[in-house]
Amino acid sequence: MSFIPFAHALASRQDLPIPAWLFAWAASIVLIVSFFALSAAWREPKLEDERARPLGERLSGALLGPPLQILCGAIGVLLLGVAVYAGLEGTEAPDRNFALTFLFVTCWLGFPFFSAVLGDLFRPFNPWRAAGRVAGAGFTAIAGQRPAHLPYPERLGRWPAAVGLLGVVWLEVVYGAGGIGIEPHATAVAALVYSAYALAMMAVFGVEVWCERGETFSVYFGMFGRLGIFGSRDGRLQRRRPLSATTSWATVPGSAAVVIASIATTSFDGGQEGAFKDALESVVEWLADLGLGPTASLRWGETLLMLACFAGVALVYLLGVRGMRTVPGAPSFAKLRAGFAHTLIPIALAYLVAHYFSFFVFQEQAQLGFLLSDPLGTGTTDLFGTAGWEIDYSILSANTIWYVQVAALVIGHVIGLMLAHDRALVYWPDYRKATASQYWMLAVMVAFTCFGLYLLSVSNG
Amino acid sequence: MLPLAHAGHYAIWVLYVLPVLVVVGAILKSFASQRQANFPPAGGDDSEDSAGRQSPESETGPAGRTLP
Repeated sequence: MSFIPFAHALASRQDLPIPAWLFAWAASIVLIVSFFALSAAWREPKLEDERARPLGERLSGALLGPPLQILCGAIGVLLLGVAVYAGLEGTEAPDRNFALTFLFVTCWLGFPFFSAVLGDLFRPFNPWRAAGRVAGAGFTAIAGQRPAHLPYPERLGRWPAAVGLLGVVWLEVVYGAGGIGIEPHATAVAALVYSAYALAMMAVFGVEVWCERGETFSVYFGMFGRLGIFGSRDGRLQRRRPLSATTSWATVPGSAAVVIASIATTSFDGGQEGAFKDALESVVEWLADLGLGPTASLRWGETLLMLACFAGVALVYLLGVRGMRTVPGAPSFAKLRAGFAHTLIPIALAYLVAHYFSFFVFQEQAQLGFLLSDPLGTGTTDLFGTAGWEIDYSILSANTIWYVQVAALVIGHVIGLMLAHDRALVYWPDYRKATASQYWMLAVMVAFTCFGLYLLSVSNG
Repeated sequence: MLPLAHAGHYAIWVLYVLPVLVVVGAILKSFASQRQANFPPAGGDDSEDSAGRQSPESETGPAGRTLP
């Protein structure tokens, strides 16, 4: 999120009662205590069954019926169109153009935040899904038969979405490196290219299959939606046990890569101007010495750093999985790797909240204020009379931000431990073996917590 | 090469790594003890190690009941 100043470190913290690093120790103690409490009190799997309760038929019909689905899809297409138009025709000042804040803040951060509470909110508003369904219906009406699709390669799984996730963050953070950040025009062009790609893939594999497996935004936002309490099945809206829908998420190959990419890209973005800054500068200097130009050096350096973050997060997770294999009765490494991937979802959310929640709160004031009234940022329109609004940075104090960050990380990792413990009880019905297997996941959680707090403490200065 | 003058700046990460090392150390120690219990030194008793602990083979009692 480098395109807008003060993305993370809005101000230095003041008057913390203890040093920042001591929070990492306290968080680790909380995790260890939680681990033993789970071992003592949670001896049977509780989350494998969603125990979903269908909501009223009329309510389901109203919310999932064609009229509202069409309306939501149309809103999604309209807003994407406005963002693209603003990017192409509006000001190049990134903080005054609707496109950047709408795509990279309101959608990219807003959907995970709200979906994690309520369920997958992106699905009805997905502009590509809406366009694909309309195109499919049009084809059926004209040709008199449903469009034929190629079978989706099972082994490909969610890998296209994982690569797409890395690509989105690369575009946002790396492509815009070295200047004021990515330009609205480049963002609009990228949105158009992605739209063409998504629609082509939907034509080849089918709308729902591509949204479930390969469409980056559907997979990414849908992953957080599994944490939420509402979902739908067989055309009926239902309320489910919190967290229970996550347990069936990672059955598709490549799911672990998606959630690891989420944690890695957030870490990369959080660390590139803080904890990793000096290492990045060293790499960039080295690349410049090899003969690359300044912009190319910076982009290559940041690309390498982002990939290193992905590799690092994956390594920590796989070490945890490898550790579990040492416990008698353990299933195969591949089964464990996929079977525990969903335990990283709350951690990915915790990282997002910790790194971006203040940024989201500040930028949404701009989004709902002057960007909505003057989407092009040219000062020529005032659609809702809010073009003169400014962002109130005093709405959150630096210490409040820090405490929310710490709380998010601790809560996210405790939930991750819960999910891992619950899954371990499926693989090791003997709770003592299940507990023994989770020593390694405890180490993984403590590592991610301390790493996250380290990144934040350096970023916040 | 990172300048030595900035060493203090980087040293802070040690404080963040410490809890991870403590947990990993505890796990390794626990597994080492378990391993020792599983494979007692040569000449040791089959059912008890040198510290008098029961081996895992004796975790189930009569009639297969699991011992606490």
